[in-house]
Parts: sequence; C-alpha cells; structure tokens
Amino acid sequence: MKASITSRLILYLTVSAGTLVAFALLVDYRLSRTEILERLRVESQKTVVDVVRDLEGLLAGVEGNTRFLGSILSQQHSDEQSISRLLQETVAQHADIFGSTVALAPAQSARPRGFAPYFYQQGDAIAYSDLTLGAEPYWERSWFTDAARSGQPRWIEPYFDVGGAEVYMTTYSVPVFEGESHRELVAVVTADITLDELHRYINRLERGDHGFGFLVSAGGLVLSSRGTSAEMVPYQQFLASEEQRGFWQQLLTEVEPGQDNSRITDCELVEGNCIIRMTRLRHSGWIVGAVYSEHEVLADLRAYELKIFALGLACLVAMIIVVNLVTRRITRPLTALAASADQLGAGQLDASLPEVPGKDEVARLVQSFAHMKDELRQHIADLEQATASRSRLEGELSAAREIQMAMLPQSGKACESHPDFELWASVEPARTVGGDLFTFGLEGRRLYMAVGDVSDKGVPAALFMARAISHLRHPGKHSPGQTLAELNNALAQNNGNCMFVTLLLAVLDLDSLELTWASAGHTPPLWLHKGCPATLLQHSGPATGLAENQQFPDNLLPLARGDRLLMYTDGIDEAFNPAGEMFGNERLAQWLAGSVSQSPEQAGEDLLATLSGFAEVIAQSDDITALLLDIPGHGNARQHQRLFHLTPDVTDASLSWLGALLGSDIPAGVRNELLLVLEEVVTNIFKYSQLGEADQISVSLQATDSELILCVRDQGIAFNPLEDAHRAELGADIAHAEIGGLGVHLIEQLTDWQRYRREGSDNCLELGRNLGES
Amino acid sequence: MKLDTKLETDGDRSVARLYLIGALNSDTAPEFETILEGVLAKGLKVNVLDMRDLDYISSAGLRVIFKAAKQATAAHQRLAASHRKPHIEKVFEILKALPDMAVFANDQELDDYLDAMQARSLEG
Repeated sequence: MKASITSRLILYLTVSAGTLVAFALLVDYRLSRTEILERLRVESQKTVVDVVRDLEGLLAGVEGNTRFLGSILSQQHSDEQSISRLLQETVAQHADIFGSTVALAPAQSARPRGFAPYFYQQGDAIAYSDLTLGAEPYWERSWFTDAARSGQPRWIEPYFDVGGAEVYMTTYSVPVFEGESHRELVAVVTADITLDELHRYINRLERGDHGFGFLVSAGGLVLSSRGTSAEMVPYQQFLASEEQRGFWQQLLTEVEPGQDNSRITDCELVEGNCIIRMTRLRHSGWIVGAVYSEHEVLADLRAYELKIFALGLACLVAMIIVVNLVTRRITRPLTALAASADQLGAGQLDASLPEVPGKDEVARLVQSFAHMKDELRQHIADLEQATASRSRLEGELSAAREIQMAMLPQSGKACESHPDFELWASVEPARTVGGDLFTFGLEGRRLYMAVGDVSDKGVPAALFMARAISHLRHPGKHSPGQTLAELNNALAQNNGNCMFVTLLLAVLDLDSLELTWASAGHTPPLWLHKGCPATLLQHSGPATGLAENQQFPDNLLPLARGDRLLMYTDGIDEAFNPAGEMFGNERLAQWLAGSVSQSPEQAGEDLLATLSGFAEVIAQSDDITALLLDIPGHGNARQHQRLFHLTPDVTDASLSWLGALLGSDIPAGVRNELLLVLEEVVTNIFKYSQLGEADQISVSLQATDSELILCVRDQGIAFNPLEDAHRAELGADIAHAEIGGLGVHLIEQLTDWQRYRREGSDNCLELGRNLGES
Repeated sequence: MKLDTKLETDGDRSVARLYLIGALNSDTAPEFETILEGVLAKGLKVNVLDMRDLDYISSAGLRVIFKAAKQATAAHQRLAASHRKPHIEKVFEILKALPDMAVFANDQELDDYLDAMQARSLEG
C-alpha cells in the first residue's frame, strides 16, 4: 500500500493543504499579534489618559471653586453668617467637593477659638461641624499652617479628618490675604476631596486580577486600588526591597506633567514582567499610574494563539479526513481496476471489472478495459480457431508432402548402384511441398533421367509437378525431344493458370555411352570429364506447359568411363548468402571438380552441405534438386583430387601427395617423371599465376590400367604454358645456352599428350601418360 | 625433398668434387646455386658435380647448372657432371643440355680425364 496512488495522494494532498493552512494561519497570527499588541497598548494608555483627564477635571473644579471663595473673601468683608451660607451652598452645589471651610485667621475673629465652620456631605444632606471645637486649635492643623506659611494655594497631604467629617481626605487650601501689600492673612479657604472619591478614580485603572492603579502624593503617600479602603500609606510600606524603592524613586522623579511614562520591567509588584504607565497631575503634582502584569495583558494574545493553534489542528484533522474520503472515493475504482487487470494478466478473462458510474477518466478507463477484455477474448477465440486450422493444414500439408515424395523415386532421395552407373538424386522443397522433380528409370539398356522445376513454389507447384511427373514415368522409345514435345502438349491443355515446368530429360545408352538429352528451358547439365568440369552446350526448347506443338531438339554427347554428370535446378546455382551473392555456376563447377574422389552419394550430400554452409542463416528460397550420375571406369580406375594452397611449400606438398598416390604399382621411372612434370607445372603456377597464399590449385589424378591423367587447375591469369611459356632453344653449347625456359620441354617430353583450356576463370591443364612404355 | 652436398677438393690436381645427395628441384635450387658459386670461386680448374646420389633434378636445378657452366667457361674453369642416374641422364638428354659439357659415367672415365688434363697442363 505504501506505493499505492491512494496513499501517496492522501499524503501529498494532506501535506500540501496542511502547509497552506499553517502558512495562512501563521500570516494571520503575525498580523493579528501586531494588531492585538497595538490595541492593548492603546487601551491601557487610553485608560490612564482618561483617568488622568478626569482627575485633572476634578481637581481643577475643586481648585477653581476654592479660589473663587477665597477671592470673594478677599474683596468684601463678609460676616460669619454669610460665610456659613456661602460654604453651605458651595458644598451643596458641587458634588465633587466633599466638604469646605473658611477658617479665619485667629486675629480676624473676635472669638477666642476662632471661626471655622465646616460643611460637608453626609448622605444626601449637608452636615455641619465646628472646627473650633477640636482638641487643638484649627490654625495649628496642617491644612491651615501649610497654606498660611507658603502664602500659596496648595494641596495638603492626605490625612484623617479628626473632629470634622471623620474620614480620610485631602484638602485644597487657599490662603486669603488682605491689605495693601496683601500681607495680612485673613483666612484659609479649603475644599476637601475624600480619598474614597480618589479611590474610585484609581479603581478605574485596575486591569485583570493583578493590574492596579495608584496615586502617589507629593509627600510620598500611596493610594492604591489594591487596597479595599481609601487609605494612603507611605510608599516604603508598599515596596519591600531597597532596590525597588530606589528604582521607584528614580522613576517617580522623572515623571513630568503631561508626559506619559511607560516602562516594562520586573517590578516585583506583580508576577512576571510588569507594565508601568504613569503621569504627573498638573494641579496637585501627584503621580497617577497603573501597574499591569504583562502576563495578564497578553492573555488575550495567548488566548488568540491557542485559538489559532486549535483552529489549525482542527483544519488539519478535518482535511485529513476529507482528503482521505475523497481520495479513496476517487481511487477505489482504480484499485479495483488494478486488481481486475492483474486477474486479466493472469489469463482470467472472466474477471469482473468494477462498476464506475459517470463519464470521468476512470469510467472511460474501465470502459476501455472492458472493451479490451472483450477484444482479447474474441482474439483468443480466433487464435485458437486459427491455430486449430493451421495445425490441420499443417497435417494435411505434411501428408501432401509424403504423397508428393512418394511420386519421386525412392521418396525423393534416391541412391542407385548399377554395374554400369551409379546415381544419386535428391529434392529439398523450400516449403512443405514443392515444385521440383526428378525421376529416372532403366528401360532395357537405356537409362532415362529427368530433372524439372515447376514455376512458383508450394501447393500449386506441387500439383502441377504431379501432372508432369506422371507423364515422365514411362517415356517410351521416343527420343527425349519427342517425349518433351508430347509432355508439353499434355500439360498445355487445361492449363488456365499458365503454370509451366522447365525440364531436362536425358537418355544414356549404357552400351555406347552416348548421352541424348533435350531441354525445356532448363539449365544444361554439368559434365565432369577427366577431372575437368564443363557446362554442356545445348539447344533448348521452351518451358513446357505454355503453348502446344513446340520443338525440343535433341543434344548428343558421347560420355566416357569415369565421367560424372550433374543435372540440377536453379535452387542450387541461385542460392544466396547473407552478403547477397549467388552461389553461381562457377562455384558449382569448382565444387564438381573437387568432388571427383567422392562417390555420387558422398558428393551429393557434400553438395547439400556446401550449399547450406554458403547460405548460412539465409532461409532456402527455392526448391533444391540435384541428380548426379557416375559412369564408372573399367578395372581399377581411380580418381583422386586434392586442393593445395599456393604457399611456398606447395611443390613439396603436391609432390608428396602425388608420390604417395602413385605408390609402387607404377614403374619408378614413370613415377619420377610424372613427379617432375607436376613440379614443373606447379612451380610455373606458383611463380607466374599472380595468385596468393589464400588461393588454391586443384590437382587431380585419374588412373586407369593403361593411362595416368594429371589435371591441374588454377585461377590465375589466363596462361597456356604449352604455347605462351618461354622455351629455351635446346642443344646450344655452353656459350650459347639459355638459362631457364626448360620446364615446358620437360613437360612435353615426359608426357604423351597435353591439353590446355581456359574454363571460366580457370586454367585447366591436362597431361596424359600412357602406361606400358618406360 | 631436400638436397645435401659434400665437397672434396684436390689442390694438387686442381679438382673440386661436389657430391649432390637428394633432390635438386625448385625448392633446393637457390641454396645449391650459392654453394656452387662458392665452389667455383675457389678457382680450381675442374669442378665435377657428382650425381651418384642425386635422385631427382628439375628444370630449376638444370637452370642453376647452366648458369654455373657459363660462369666457369668465362673464368677458364670447367664444370663437369659424373655418375648420372638413367632418369637424370634422360632429363639432360631431353633438354639436350650442354652438349659440350664433360660428362663421366664412372670414376674411371673421370680419372682418365683428370690425368689427361694434368698432362696437358704440364705440357702447356
């Protein structure tokens, strides 16, 4: 399954889609993260800015009212009753002002404890308290002394108002002076804000579980939103370590009004990093700020990260499931098809194919497969039928071949030995049946022989050959030419197909050795006489079967004992080798010359082997038929032949061979002289024929009781030594004698007859020596 | 088929006697030609080719003898043959080879000839 398309498809699609989703989420995360961080930053800043603005508004309102009261007092001297009324109205009208007093300087009041009415809010009502009733004189209280001493309006450090409203508060004190130089203190006008009020503002700065707002007074008191009550404590109490105190002191001194200071650091006030933002109020000089836990602030971001991760994971899982389902749905038919194809491949043509609805590629593939399956089944059925027909046909052809061969003497491969002749014949059809024929028979002392070749090959040729051969079986007493004329007339009738047969019909009179033959467009026979092959010249008629009433002239040739005759069809001389060369007449003549020492049967088999070796891998293209006839010589006639390469030791080799052949039966003188003659001939060829070591000469010896015939053949330049060789003039004395030119004299003097002929490309020199004379 | 030679010289009578053993044919002729030239180069007056053991001679061998005979005549030397077997003799006859060449059938004829030669030179 690892290599299956399905698993690969699932893997690739999942990985690709997962990568894409991851990439998209990552990009989204990067963008969103920046956005979230920016939003958080703006939010926290906005909160601080809002609180500061509101606080500034509160303080400004309180300051403005108090100054206004102060300015009223400094411009007109008011009686105590009107002051009280003014104060009451002020507190009633300004919700931000918790309480307010006008404390007259001790010198300005007729009363010994001074005058300081204090009105403050208590629930929905305005309460009154007389500050002169306190344990200590009011002009010794810090809210009075601080303002009086500095001569400037100022915010008093928060305190617990004992004897007044009994709450924590902070007070804005405005000293009122009188006189020309404004040096005489008239009163101190105050307005109070409860720490509860401030605490409410500071509370707005809270964020998360740990983030808190704070306010630091000029004196270093801290009001934190962490505390449940509006109580201010010294900052030392708030910060545990010296290091932190120093850090915060440094930080607080750097803060300027209107500036937004922020810092992210490990401040020990919250877990992890804290984000500190703060600014200094313009009106009171207090510092308002917030400390947030970075961890909490970024909680949103982390939640977002988690969300993104979960989303990505969910997408991936969903994608795997979807891809899996889709891929399997698409490839299911393919998998099934592959299984079916395996079955088909194993030859199970009945294997069912998956059913795929629709017209997509897979459906078309399945359709093609179904079509292929049907075609295959049909084809196999056809093939089986064709094979059956073919084997039936082959059987019939094989029978036909046997029948055809039965028409030929000795079933197509004949070997006949007779005291007066030896005969070998063979036909090798190129196909199962063929159109070549041979026949022979003895009628009295007449040996008739025929070799023929029907046009074309195969069955038609075989049938026509059957017609032809039935006429040749009994040629009667007619001459070959007459027989052929009768045959021709018989075959020409009802021969709509214009089939024809070329024929060679020969009759040998075993007594006179006279050969009479007639040819119907057939190649003339080859004649081997005294070791030398020759193509017989002949007058020929047309091929038989084409037109009636044709003339077939008889040819005559007296044969001699020791002669050999070869009749053949064109399957022999027209056999081709892989190089495209034809075997040809010359090769055939040369082979015949070389066959002289073999019996007709040996020679015939050798001819077939030679042809097969020549053609190599080329298939036999035509029927091959050959008929060899030997007329044995009388007595112990022997024929010997041998080929010699023209190497430097050719003389030695040929003389050794001839010496051994002649043996001791021949008189020593004759033997030596023949050896001398052969040496002269071979030496001549070796020196002057211009042949090389690859070339061969043929030396043959025909020995009868009365005669020895030496025949030497070479393929050198045409040269008749009997006429063309240089002859030295004999009988000259030493002074006039020629050097060389002696060989031909020896040849002529030591043999009884000499004959030279040029045969094709061969020089053929025949030398006869009668026996019985020394 | 090979040819062996054996040389006997008689300085007193100025006679070289070269024995030919085997066959003198186209194969052995070239080597024999060198040997014979070497013999003639000794400058002895009479050079006899003793053929009592020569089985065979071809025209190539005769050619060498013809050539040597011409050289000998030019150098006022003599080349003679002795002890030819019948068939060797026949070859010589067929070719009518060198009618003026001295030929000795046996040792007696040769000795007589040599004596005569010596007597003539003494006279001369």
